[in-house]
Amino acid sequence: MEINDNIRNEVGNKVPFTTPDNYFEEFSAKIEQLLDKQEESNQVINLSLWQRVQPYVYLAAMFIGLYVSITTFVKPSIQQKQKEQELVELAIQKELLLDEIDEYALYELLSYNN
Amino acid sequence: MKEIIEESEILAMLASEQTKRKAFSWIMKTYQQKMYYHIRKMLINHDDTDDVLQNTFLKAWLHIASFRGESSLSTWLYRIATNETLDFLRSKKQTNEYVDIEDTLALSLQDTSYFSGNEIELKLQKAILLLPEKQRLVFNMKYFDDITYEQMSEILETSVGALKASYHLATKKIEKLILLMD
Repeated sequence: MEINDNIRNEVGNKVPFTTPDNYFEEFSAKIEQLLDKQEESNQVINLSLWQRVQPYVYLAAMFIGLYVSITTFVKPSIQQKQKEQELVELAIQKELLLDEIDEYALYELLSYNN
Repeated sequence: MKEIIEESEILAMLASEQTKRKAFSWIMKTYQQKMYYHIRKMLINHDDTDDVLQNTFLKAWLHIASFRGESSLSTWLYRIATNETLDFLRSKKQTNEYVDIEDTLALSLQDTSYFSGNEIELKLQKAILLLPEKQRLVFNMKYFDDITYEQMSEILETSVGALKASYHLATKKIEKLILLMD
């Protein structure tokens, strides 16, 4: 403690810093203003229920619209293409079947039937 | 506002939405000088102190609902101000990796427009700046503000014994440093 007392006796414990004139009055006013602004912005943020759910409703509507357009326009054309593909495959199979039949056997069959 | 003295009254006012702002204004007006000089002694520069003091009170307002009066208002504010000051110093050290912040502060002591001390006070401030951060805090709080070790222990979350040792070491170092500067 005596060391502390030595410094204290020699230097004292006055804080050697000053502030600009009226600093503390202006500081309080500045903080009050900032708090007012914060309160104002908080009030703006207080949205109604509809305002809060609005974006989700719009998002849901967009997905429903997308689903309806897919089922109306895209799905039938896919089904149509599938049908066409099936017909082509059937035609190919018939062609192959005819190729496989021996012409002589066919003649024999026709004459036997007659 | 001056008539309100009891902290229990302030706590009651803080609990009500209608009187919360009034209570906070009182807190601010009552403690702003104390907090300013607490921060200023660590940061030296007035503008930096102004920024940190502003953050201190804005943070206090933000967390005012969590203040239940377990510690005194002064302890609670000192804790916020100290944390804000240390955070500020940390970020300054990160952005100025190759510069010794304490050296910069010591240099700015002479340049600062708001330094009113004489030669020996300047030496003391320079010696304080040579102490490690935590020791600097402890020394300033005890030497200039005469804060009790018990309150300091609550603010800095350090044991009373460690704080006493830290202050003792700090005073020893400062005395040596002042002698070296002569």
